[in-house]
Amino acid sequence: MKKISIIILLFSCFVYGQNKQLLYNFTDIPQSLLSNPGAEVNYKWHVGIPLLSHIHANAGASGTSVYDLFADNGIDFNEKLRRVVYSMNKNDFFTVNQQLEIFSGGFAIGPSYEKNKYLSFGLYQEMDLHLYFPKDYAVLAYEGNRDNIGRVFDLSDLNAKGELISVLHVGLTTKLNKKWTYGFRGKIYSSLLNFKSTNNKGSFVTQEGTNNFYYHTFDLDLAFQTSGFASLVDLENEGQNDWNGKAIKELRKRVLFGGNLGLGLDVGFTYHPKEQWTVTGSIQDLGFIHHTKDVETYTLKGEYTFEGVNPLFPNNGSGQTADEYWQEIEDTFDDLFELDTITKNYTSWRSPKLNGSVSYKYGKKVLKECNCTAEDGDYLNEVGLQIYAIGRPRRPQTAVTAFYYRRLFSFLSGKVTYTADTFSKTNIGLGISSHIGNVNFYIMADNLLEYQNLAKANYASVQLGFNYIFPATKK
Amino acid sequence: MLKRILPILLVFIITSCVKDVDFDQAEDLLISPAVESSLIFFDFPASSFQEPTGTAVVVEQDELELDLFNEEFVRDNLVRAELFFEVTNSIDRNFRADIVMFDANGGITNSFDITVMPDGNNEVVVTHTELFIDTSLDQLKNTMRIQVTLSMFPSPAGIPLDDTSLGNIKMRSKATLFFEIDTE
Repeated sequence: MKKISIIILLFSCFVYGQNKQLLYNFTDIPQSLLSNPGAEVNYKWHVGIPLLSHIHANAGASGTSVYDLFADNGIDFNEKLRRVVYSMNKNDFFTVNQQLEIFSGGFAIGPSYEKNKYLSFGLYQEMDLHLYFPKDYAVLAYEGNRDNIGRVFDLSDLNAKGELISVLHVGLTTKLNKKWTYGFRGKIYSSLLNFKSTNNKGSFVTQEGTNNFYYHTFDLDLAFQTSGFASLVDLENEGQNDWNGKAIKELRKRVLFGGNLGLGLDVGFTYHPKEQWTVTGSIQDLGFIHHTKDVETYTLKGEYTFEGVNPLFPNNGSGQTADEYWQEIEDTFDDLFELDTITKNYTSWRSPKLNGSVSYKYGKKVLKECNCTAEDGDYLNEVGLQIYAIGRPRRPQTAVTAFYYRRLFSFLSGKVTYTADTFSKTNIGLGISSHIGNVNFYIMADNLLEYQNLAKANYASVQLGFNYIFPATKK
Repeated sequence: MLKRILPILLVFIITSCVKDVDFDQAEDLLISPAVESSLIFFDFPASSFQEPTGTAVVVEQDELELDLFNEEFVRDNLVRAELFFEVTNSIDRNFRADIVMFDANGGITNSFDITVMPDGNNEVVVTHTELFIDTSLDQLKNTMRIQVTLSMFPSPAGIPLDDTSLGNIKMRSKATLFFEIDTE
């Protein structure tokens, strides 16, 4: 109990989302191909600097912030906790998402006079956790049932999933003509660790009784599926340090095809209805992982109504003694609350992500020598709207972003975004990408208005990385 | 160029920080749920207490193992407990319920009784709250067994109860457990 509450508290500190509104269609950066395989990139080839090409983490919690709970403002901690518990509802959530690209690269293919295809590939590691606020559990733990007679505590409020996976992917982007570019990316997932508890049902309620003061009704149908954990727990070890080392070694083995495997697909396109207009769309991670190795599912299932101990006296009624009667109740309770461990294969679906945008480019570079615009140059500015959605167990989470992109110098471009989503209505982000020689460096951060004090933010993200890019020569 | 960008980034990263928060507060965590649970209940008709002479005390006794209060979680976090009993009598006799609690060695940790006088066959309701706090709470946490004895005392006229005697003797009871759960 104590440990769980601490974990929940920690959880509320490090909370992440997945929207990469700054990176989306920022085609100066090769990793934009990961959010849209149909992004219009223009390189001869590129290679990500191993382990440094894409580092991504973003933080947020709907309904609360670190500051709400941990503000050093003289208000009693338990009062703040109370406010947090009561201000959040069962659809508020915490999520953690982190990605690290291990290697990546790509090159243009096609006939030498027109290399209209771009093949990109890589391997990245991703961690994703998503947890809804278990409101009814929190209230029950916080208040108990005494002041909640008649209240049905809904056990489906427990809804969480998490995974640590590696993703090996190959994508092909095809520039069909001046208007259309489309692409696909196939993915092989290798799951290092997975847990899922998203289909819980049941309730607990205390009601006015007839024979005694109360009926307590337990209706449990809970399941917690895991893969990859059981063998780690069972690792033979000589102390914590030894275990840590062995566990990491074991996880590493699973990175390349060693874990539970799955398949996924990304699709996307870029379309120019007119020269200056761009419409894009993509779906990422339409995929699943089938868990067959190292699986363990824990279940709690059963129904029971308890109204007390009766009959008391052996020579009245059933002839059963109170002790026998109580023993029966105890056994029933033990059965009810005994975790059944079963080994059963299961499938986990990845959280699919949808992106779309409409944008308009304008303003070509003014050449000094003739005071005219460079006809064959790129437009310097782009404004547009983006939408984003991610599928989650109960309902998709969505975001709308307005952006402005500007090529500042030949070696530097930037993008400013304004995003409204579940976390915040005032999320301003800034990303820059520099090309010095062939080295590309980019960094992007989110929720700048809250940057002075991240603790107050519901959400923040950072992404950065280094690539080596050899751009296609202008025709 | 990097040289120019990096300082700006550094300033950005340094000025962004987590201010005015104190994570040590988590150590003050204290939640205090109050849990209520039904306990013992019975409902017996007058005919259950038949005895030929009409002058003897009819005694019914039973006991049950109850190690709930011994559970580690309860030992650590229970700060107060109340057992609430309600006895309703419509039998024209005196009743007394004796509740005795024992520890693992058979020593008495607590005992109390509830007496209910009759009012003909009208319902007489008597309630009793047994509060466990400090020393008595510690005693409760050592309790392993509860014994309940129900005694019916004869009427002054010495008339035995028979199958046609009216009334019931009922008991309802519940426990209210007050927890204080902290991080220690």
